[in-house]
Amino acid sequence: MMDVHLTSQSDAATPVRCSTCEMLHHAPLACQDCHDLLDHVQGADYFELFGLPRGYHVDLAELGRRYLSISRNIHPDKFAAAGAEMQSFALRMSAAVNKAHDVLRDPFLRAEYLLESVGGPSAAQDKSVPGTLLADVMTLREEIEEARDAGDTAALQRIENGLKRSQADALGRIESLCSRLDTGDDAAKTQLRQNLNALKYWNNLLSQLASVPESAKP
Amino acid sequence: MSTTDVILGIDLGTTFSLVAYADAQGPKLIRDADGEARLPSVLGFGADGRVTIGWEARRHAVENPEHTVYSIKRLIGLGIDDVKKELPHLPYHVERGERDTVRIEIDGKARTPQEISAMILRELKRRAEQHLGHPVRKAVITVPAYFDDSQRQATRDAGQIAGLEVVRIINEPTAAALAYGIGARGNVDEKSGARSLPVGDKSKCTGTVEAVSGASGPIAVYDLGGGTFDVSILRLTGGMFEVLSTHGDTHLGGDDFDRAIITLVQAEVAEQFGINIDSPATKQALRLFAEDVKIRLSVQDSAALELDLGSGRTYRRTITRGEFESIIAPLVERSIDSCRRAVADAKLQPLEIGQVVMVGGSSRIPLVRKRVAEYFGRPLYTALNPDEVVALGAAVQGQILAGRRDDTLLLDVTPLSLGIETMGGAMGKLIMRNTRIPCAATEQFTTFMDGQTSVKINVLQGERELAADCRSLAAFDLRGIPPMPAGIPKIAVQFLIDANGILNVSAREERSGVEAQIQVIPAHGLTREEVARIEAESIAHARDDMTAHRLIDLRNQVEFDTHKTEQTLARHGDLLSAPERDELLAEIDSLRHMAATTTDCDALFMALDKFGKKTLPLANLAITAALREASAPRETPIRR
Repeated sequence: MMDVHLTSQSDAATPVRCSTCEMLHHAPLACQDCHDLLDHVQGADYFELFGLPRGYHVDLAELGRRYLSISRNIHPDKFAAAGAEMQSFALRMSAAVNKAHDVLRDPFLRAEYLLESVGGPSAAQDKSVPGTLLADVMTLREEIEEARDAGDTAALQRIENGLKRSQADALGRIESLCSRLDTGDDAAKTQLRQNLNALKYWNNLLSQLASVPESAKP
Repeated sequence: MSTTDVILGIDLGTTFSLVAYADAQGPKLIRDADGEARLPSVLGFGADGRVTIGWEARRHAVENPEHTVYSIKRLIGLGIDDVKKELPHLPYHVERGERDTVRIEIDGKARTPQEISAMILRELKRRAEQHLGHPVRKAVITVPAYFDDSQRQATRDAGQIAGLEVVRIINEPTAAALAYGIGARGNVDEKSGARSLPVGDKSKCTGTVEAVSGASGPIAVYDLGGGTFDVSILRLTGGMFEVLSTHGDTHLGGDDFDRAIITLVQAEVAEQFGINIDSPATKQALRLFAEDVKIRLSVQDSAALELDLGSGRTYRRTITRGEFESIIAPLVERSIDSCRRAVADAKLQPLEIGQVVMVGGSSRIPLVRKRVAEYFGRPLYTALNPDEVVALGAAVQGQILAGRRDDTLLLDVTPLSLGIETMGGAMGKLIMRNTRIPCAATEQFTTFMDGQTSVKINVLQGERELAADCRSLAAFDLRGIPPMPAGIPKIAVQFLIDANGILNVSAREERSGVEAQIQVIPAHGLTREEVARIEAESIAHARDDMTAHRLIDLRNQVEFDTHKTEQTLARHGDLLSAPERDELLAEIDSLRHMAATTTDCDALFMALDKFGKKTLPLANLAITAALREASAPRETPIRR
């Protein structure tokens, strides 16, 4: 029944003792013997949680598989017959695992997480962006509006292609900056912050382009 | 299997409601004597205080317009100002209740939509109990995926009022996907046009999860019901049902198509005869009429309409399918817009969808099928009974929650972004739409004044930028904050959306570690206290109603039995001795007197039983006499 291996790949993880049956496990979420949940998900490192190597590169298919096998064991539906405390515990754990999954599967959030975990500046602390980005964004917004008003789909397509290039460029820089984080490179942290801020602008513009205008709700 | 832990699956629909349960053989619908699983979500309030639910109430809707309540699902969990557009279409009286809630007023008694829905749920529960032969306490109830927190909460409250423990609220399209995924199809009715289109062998589900999860690519469930529309995109992986995104419209469904026809007829009648036909009785009649036309137009190319307006005036016209399609096209396009958003939110292209599963009665409309097939660029999967599959899925979820189906699990999403009103009336989003649930977000709050001990938070749901354009779910009043200088307290508020898609809020002052007390003032729903009170009242009422019912039945039985005995005495009394006859006559008198005066059902039942035993010798003598008469040679020979 418990076919999944919740055991972490990372050997560094400290074994955890199940409080109910006292078995030792390597970063499991549920005790594989008595199936009770272990309370170390909240606050756990997201990479360790999924047993994936820490870094910008994530095997998304593997992440998806591990996410499903973890969910299979800790989703509140599996504890519907358990006591209120266990149910609430499963609820909080599932929320934490869902959050970790959301962060790791998205390149932007993943890089943010990597930066945060080495003590880098948050978006609120450092709003700076590289070079002429703000002016470029303003120009693009105007161009989008004009193209929309004129119904110029060719222009919109051109803008979208340009934005996708900028997005890919930013992601490329983010990827190489992430690999420099572990070396304690402070310049890398600042540059990563700026590129993440830039990526946010590109992402927002792209979703603005893709969005079907939301009709007014009653 | 212990009988008491059966978890029912209930599809509480705008037009029809259904109840199902699952056993080792799979999910099953509970049907009436005619094999009909659908119970019309219609209630008739009689002058004598009796409430009829279902087909009978629906049949009497026209003669009893202001006492017939339908489409209550379009009002549940909403404020009176949210449903303004709805009201002109409803023949029954809707009033403004406390905190701008909706109240349905019938003969001077105001009821909340939750109480009305509870009556439907109680009827379904009763049917299930009758079918299963034991009491049932738990249920999974389905809601449209696009229902917000208030509507979900209100539906759960309705269940509680009906005496059900609602173990889970699940989304209708997800329930349909679950039934589809495990190969449950419901009764596939050929006459309604539900049939399997060529979609390849793998999609012809044969009973196991593996059979369909092998189908390539994510699936889309297009669910167009009586009053609501949802589309959900899911990925099926070995028994795991992952919802990737959902979109919808809680006020788009068959009702709106009916109204389009009604509006057309009303306008033409006004033009040709100079009369307005919008009395409550006419509204009910037109609604049934329009529904019939709509259904006919799904199988025929045209439908003839005829309306007797009295005084020798008759409105006649033929409506073609093309005409009908042109008036409903804008509504159908709204559903396609939703599909676009759902596909975009799933980060997919329409052509990447491997299967489009059609659900809901209105998915039978040819124009709907045509447009959906065009949008996704593929044939549709219509082999499921679109009316029945949601309840079947809910029963499967009940089985999962009962721990009887270990191989299957639903992972759903929250349909709407959740946030709080920030300074200046903006919507500060904390949880984005289509986030996998359960999910949580924590936000820090502080005080503005020295010694302030409470903080009010307005919680919103919606996609718009301004708080005023989003739905206010509730005001959370955080109390019990230790008095400190302004800006010093750090109140961490956790917003947690559970697997029902329902919000739970907890708060803690971090400097003192004090757990803040939260008073929830729902924007449109009932407070916890109100639900508890109504539940208690309704249990008491149900008991009263049941007692009254039983007493009436017993009195009728007394009347029947005593009358029967009198007749037998008149015919065969000579077979008894005089004292025996007198004793029986006295028994008849005494039982009748008791029936007329007592309200003690149990005592009356015992007396009736005793009377039955007393009359047994007479009954036996009468039967023997009758047999003797029958076997005696006939006076007139039978002519050959």
